[in-house]
Amino acid sequence: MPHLGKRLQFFLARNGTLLGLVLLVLIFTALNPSFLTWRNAKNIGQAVSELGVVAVPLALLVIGGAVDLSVGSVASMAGVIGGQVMLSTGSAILGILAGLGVGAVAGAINGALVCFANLNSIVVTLGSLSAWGGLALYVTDGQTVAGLPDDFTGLAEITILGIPLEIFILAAAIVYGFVILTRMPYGRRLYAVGGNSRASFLMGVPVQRVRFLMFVQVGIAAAIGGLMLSAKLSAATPITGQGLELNALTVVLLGGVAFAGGMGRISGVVAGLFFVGVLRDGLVVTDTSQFLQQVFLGLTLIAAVAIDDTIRQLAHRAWTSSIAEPEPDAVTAQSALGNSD
Amino acid sequence: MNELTAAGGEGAGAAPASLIALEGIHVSFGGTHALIDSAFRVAPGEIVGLLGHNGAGKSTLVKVATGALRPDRGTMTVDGASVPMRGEPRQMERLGIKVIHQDPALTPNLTIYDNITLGRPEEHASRDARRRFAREALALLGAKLNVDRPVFTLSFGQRQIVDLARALSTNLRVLFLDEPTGALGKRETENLHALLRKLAAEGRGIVYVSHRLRDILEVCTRLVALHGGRVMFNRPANAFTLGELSEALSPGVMRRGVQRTASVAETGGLEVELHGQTHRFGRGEVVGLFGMAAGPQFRLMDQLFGIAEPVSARLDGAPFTPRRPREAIRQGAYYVSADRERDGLLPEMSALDNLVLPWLKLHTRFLLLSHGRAAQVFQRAQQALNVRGGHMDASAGALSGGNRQKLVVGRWLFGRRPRMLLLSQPTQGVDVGARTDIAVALRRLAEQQVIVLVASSEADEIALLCDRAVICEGQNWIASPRSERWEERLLEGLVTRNAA
Repeated sequence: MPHLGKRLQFFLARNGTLLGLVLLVLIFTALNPSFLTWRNAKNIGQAVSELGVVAVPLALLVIGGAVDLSVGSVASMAGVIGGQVMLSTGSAILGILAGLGVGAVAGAINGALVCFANLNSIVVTLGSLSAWGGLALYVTDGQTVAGLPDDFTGLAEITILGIPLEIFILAAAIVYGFVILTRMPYGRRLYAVGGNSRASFLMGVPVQRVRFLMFVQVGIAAAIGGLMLSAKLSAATPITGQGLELNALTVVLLGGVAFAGGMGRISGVVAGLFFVGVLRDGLVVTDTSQFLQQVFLGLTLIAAVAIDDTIRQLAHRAWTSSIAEPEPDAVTAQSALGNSD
Repeated sequence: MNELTAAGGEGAGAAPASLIALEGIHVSFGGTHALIDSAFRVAPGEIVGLLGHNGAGKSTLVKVATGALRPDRGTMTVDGASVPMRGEPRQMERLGIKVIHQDPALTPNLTIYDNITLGRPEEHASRDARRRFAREALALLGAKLNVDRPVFTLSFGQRQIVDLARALSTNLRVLFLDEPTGALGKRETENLHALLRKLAAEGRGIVYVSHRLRDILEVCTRLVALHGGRVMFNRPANAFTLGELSEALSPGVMRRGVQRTASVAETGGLEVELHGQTHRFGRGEVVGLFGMAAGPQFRLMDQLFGIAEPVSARLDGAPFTPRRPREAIRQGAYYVSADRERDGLLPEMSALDNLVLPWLKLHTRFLLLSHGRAAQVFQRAQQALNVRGGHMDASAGALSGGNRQKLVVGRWLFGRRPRMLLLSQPTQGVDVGARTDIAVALRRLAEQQVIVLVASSEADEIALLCDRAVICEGQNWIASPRSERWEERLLEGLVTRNAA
């Protein structure tokens, strides 16, 4: 039955990363049986929580046809500004709000330059990656902001039913992405704008506004990530978020989100997130050199880009060849109308 | 149809030796046959006019001959030697088979001389040698252009000349021209024709694809017409008058009736002021705007939808000058562009999403989309437009051309009620059954008192869809009521105005 083959092909195209994840878990478990334990799973979940919080909105932005490479520096900046505000006011809440404000402003600047000044998003956000990173070093004079209030660092200790708070934040981010993409008009618009912005414009979709709002959300998410890291480390450093942008992009592309926009699902992004988490953790558990970890993550990013195109082609071919529709039959369509004089 | 035989044989004037000969060419795209067992040859000194409606197979034939497309079956010989058809344009270019497209394929940021020498041996010559080469190539065309000018500073006609110079500057056996005069003025057209005659006299072959029947009759020595992927006739050009040609080109099969009971409302409607004329488009009628390919009728569509500078217009008495599509849509004016893939389709999204995207608000409850309500709309659209096959969750890019077109038309019929629907070439590249389905839907829409305007450069499309037409050429657009042999009258109206 040819349908089965096609459907399998289609399934693989959409869920290849998930299978890769299962494979990875099996390999590391074989190398070190203590890998597959509840404890380690919780560790991995905690370790990827900031990454996931940033990667999910970033995935939505990429689906919408743009990218933000500045999230790492924005996370650092939000962390140190938040920390400084906490130190000077003694209030964790004010510090958190200040950090989130930094994220929103950074996202809005990126968004305005890309959407309203029509500049290329890769170039703009590469520039702001450097600018925010430098600014974070400048305002702290390169020093760590230590001695954060206990209300704040205590957040990293909270557990509910034995599950750390950060895992709940991660879960919330995933639900947020899922609901937007599958249930909300805004999600449809993101797909539309990323898939064919001209057609969207002609259908009355406010293309630039849709993208701008997503930039702001990504900025806020980067700030949340930076604050989570600061709470976990009990200190904010100007390089806290370094590398976050690359890891987040790896997760997004591994998750099957098309770099060209218009395609992607949250389930894929979650699989990509845990793939990166398991890989990082597994390399630690198997005592791989820390320097080599960088190499593996870099290779994963390249592999993710390589499969990006393949996924699109496979999925498209599977639909066109058999799942989608029977051959159009012009003759019956014509005679069905019955007016042929 | 009349006595014209559907023969693919030798035309009376063809010399025995062919520069290029295609035999038994068969091309199909997923179930639809674009070319069926077609033969085509060009002898030295010939200027062959290639005619046919949209979708007749003209461009497919040109693509096969110039290597841009690999046919399913068929053979090709160039100068008597068999050539394997690999679907490689460079291979055919080396053999001297070239094509000039409607849009010149040039690199805009480079200079004229760079563009002319790019990708040839001369590319590596010194700067001065390249400039000389380009100047000589342009001189062949009698064109005087500063070869240091970047191509983006040139007018459309000038670009076409540069493109031609590029094609002519090396060995050339057969030159295919796709709608070469579409954007040219009268004088430029005459220059081009003189040049083509000169090239033919030198023993080269020319293939001239055009909708401009007058141009074709003026310059061509032999005419080949395609219809439905087959060669309909192949005869010397002097066997035709203009009237006979347009008759021969409008096959009776396209004239299937759509019930017409146009009763136009006296008041309301759209009033447009253009060149000091006021055109009124009433409720209850489907009006065609007929003109050349890339003609002014398409610009009017853009203007009414807020893509181009607005014109002075009134919709039901109130000023109507949208500056963005969003504004036009808010006022109930919707637009189906001629370029379905670029302007209409979201290929990765589902058919359902494509249908309801402008109307997401109507399908939203408490911030969340209601899939069920949208699916109901989809079923209604499917019935109304007679969509066969095609799952609503399948990506739109996987649907057949006809279904895709129904999707981009249907999008505007099943959301907020339209006051005015604008369409450019809505049945282009669509099979006969789907054409009729779209015609029926537009007719019904007009009966529901929606203003329907169809812009087209195809007379048969206007005749199929419209109750009356306006011929859009120059400053003075004229009305053309539905009549006996309407298609011919439309074409004649256009060519006579164009020649004036």
